[in-house]
Amino acid sequence: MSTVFKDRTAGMNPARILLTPHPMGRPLSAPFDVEKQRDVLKAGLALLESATEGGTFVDYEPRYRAGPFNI
Amino acid sequence: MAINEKTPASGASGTPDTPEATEKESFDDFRNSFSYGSRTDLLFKWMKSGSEGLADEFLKELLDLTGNLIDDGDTQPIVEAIVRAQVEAYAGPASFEYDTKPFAKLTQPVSESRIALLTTTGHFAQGHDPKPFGIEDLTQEQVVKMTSEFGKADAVLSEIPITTSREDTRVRHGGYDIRAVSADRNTALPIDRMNELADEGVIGEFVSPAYSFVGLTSQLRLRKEIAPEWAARAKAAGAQAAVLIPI
Repeated sequence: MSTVFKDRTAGMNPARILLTPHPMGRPLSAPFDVEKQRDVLKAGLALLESATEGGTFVDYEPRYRAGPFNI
Repeated sequence: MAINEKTPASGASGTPDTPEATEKESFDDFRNSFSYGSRTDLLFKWMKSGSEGLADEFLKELLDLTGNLIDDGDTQPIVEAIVRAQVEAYAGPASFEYDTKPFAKLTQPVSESRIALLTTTGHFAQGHDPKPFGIEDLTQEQVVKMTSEFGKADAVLSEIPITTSREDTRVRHGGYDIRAVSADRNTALPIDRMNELADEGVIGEFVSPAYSFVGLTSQLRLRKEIAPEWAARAKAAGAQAAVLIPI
């Protein structure tokens, strides 16, 4: 999810969260940034596998890339 | 502070047609108008949630960066300024607290797991309108005007078969800027990417259907009654784990 709601989400005690530095409404990527979409998903899946306790917050570091991207 | 004078009806000379047509608009009125007001723009509705100073500083920075953009074509600083402002506007705890901390460790590798997808984006498959309040074919413009009603209503879960084409995927949500997800569902409902990861063996299986609902909903009922029912449905569909994507 976007890092915009990090504080508010923390109060929900989620099991694991991957925080992307993206604007609201674009948690994975800009439209058609397929490479970024895959990378974010893979990072989330890696967290699913690696987290050992609830409340694990991980920052996804690569920046949001503005388009346009090829369809 | 007062920032301008509104002159909604001006004659050819540029003077107001009627004396009462001129009224002051404060900067507070201006920034608040982006959040379900006369200038509604859900990408910038945070200007109401944050302080007056935050909106003031952001707009100054935005204009400065736009000046740079004209010369260097680099939109990245603008994107990052928007994210910084959104983070600051929504900083601090929510108004509700959860007293449990659920956690379950995945007992097998992701590559051997059946993974479900659930988003709060308000997507649904063409021909399967969730009909909020019993109304079919509500427009995005209409639901933006119905946010208070959505906030009190029960969430409705949409099931989207993972073979659903992009053309047959619709989205409607009054709580966020849907421009990106309207152009490409995978910005928040990554059905195509999940299908690819399943084909490549990165995940064991992508559970069909994918699920989506409008996250702008009655939170208490969602947490206590509705979400457990949904979790049971996903498990019945074979899910061993789920990727949840809040918008």
